[in-house]
Amino acid sequence: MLTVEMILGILLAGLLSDNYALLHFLGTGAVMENERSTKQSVVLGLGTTLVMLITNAICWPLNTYLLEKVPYLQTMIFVLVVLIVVEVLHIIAKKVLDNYCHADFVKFAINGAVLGLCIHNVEHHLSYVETLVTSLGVGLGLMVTMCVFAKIKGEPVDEEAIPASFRGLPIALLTAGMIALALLALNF
Amino acid sequence: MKNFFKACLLRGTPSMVLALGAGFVMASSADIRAALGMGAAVLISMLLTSIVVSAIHKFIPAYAKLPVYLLIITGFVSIIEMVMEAFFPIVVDMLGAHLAALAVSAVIYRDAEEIADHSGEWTSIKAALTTGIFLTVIMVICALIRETLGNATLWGREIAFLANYKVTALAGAFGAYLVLACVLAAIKKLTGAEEHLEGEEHE
Repeated sequence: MLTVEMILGILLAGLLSDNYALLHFLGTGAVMENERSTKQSVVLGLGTTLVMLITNAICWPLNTYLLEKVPYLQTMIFVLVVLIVVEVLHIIAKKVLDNYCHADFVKFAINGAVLGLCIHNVEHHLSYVETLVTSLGVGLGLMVTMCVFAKIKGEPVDEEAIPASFRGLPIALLTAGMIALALLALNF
Repeated sequence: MKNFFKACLLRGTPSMVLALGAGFVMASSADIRAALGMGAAVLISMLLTSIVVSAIHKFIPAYAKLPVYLLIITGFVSIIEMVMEAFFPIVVDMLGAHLAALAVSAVIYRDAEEIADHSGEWTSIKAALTTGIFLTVIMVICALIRETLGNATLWGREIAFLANYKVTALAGAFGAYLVLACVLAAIKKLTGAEEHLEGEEHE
């Protein structure tokens, strides 16, 4: 039985010390190539969290009751679930929201963190509730990371202060490394 | 080698491809065996996906492209994963979920959707080879630096004279970011891609 402290611990781990994008390198691409504003990044992050939650809610029973006997189909079935979830959310968004972005749904589907989390949860034999809480924590962690990077990218930077060859992706990677180093300190 | 990197850089490969594939590049750069394994997996899956997608793209309706392409990639990645598990189980253990996560890799999907979908077999094969080899070379260079200096090992074997001087930070997450950033900056400096890309922007 999960206590409130344990749930908070899992959520905090997903946000900070176990941050998927920065420390596990899953979903790092989505963070690095994100060119959106902070507000749009929140929407993208919340969408990813929702996809993670629903996908894991479906993948856990599928793996427990079906895939144990056919483990070689695991990746294929998980990807299929991610695609179905993204498509269903796409259809709902089309009907409910006036301005939705189709590209966002492609990004949900090709986010390594979504599939990586499903596999991680299964490999670590987490319970159903633990799986859901972990998904929420990891999703929120990804959202926060996206927002932090969107905010940093939005700030005016003195380009001359950065060596020419480090401009662009290298300096973004170094910034991510600094944040990762700070988050690693929380592991001890 | 310089010309090869220049060709990749002129196509905008590093900034775009490395931004999208930064995750698996960094995840597999802690050990040279993992880097080679991941490099082979990326190269083969990209190549096979490109061939299949360029052959069948005319028969796939626009609304079904995302699921079809992703399932094609997943199929190849699953086969590669099973082959690697049979012959190189250590590499599969090192890569963990990252190998399976290649199935939804933005780099492979982008290659299938933007290049293989719009061009013939040869063009897409050439593009897949260029990107795949480029990523493999980057992973191997990063792994060489991180494994030798961070762990004082090479191919899992200890390097005695480096054992007392290892920089353990390089073996962790921060080291992955630092080494990849430095390698990318060095490539930019060596090939002068910065000036070219800036020139392109002004045009």
